[in-house]
Amino acid sequence: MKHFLLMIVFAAFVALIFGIVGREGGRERLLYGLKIFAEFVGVGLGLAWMLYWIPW
Amino acid sequence: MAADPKTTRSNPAKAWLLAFIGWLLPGLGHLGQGCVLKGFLGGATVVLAFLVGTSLGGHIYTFQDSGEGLLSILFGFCNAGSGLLYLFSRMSGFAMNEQPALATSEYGNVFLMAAGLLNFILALDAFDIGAGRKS
Repeated sequence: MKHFLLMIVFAAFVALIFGIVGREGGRERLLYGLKIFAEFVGVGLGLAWMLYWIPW
Repeated sequence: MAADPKTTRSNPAKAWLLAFIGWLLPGLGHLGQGCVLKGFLGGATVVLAFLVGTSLGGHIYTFQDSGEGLLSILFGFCNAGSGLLYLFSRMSGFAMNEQPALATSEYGNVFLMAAGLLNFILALDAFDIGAGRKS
């Protein structure tokens, strides 16, 4: 669980900075930041699930 | 807001200075240009990422870390992005020792490197604003 929480924190930090510099305007920044956050967490979970089935 | 090409050409020194200040003190490059929210949020994120990294047992890489070989140059470059936090660590010895006994030390290393890279992005953004390419 700690690993997952750290991944969430990491994704939040990165999403915040990307949201700040990647778009103009409050709403666009918020949406872009949320998108980046969801992508980080989604890809992380996807990779973890894939690696779980690899036996080595 | 559209960028003014004249401003872009006439203020390169100011843009470089703002980028340097932004690198040295996370967020200050934006604060100096009136982007208060951007500066505070960005700076706080970088500092927080750095603090989380050190609290997890991460350490700062030097450019000649013998244990990592050539990768230490890359890791050192990432860490150097933290500006004054990096310089403080190098000079004071804070977070300079590897702590392999801690299970989260590798996570800490990643947080520290990410803090540096994120601050590089912030500094480049401050440069773009200073050069008139962004608002």
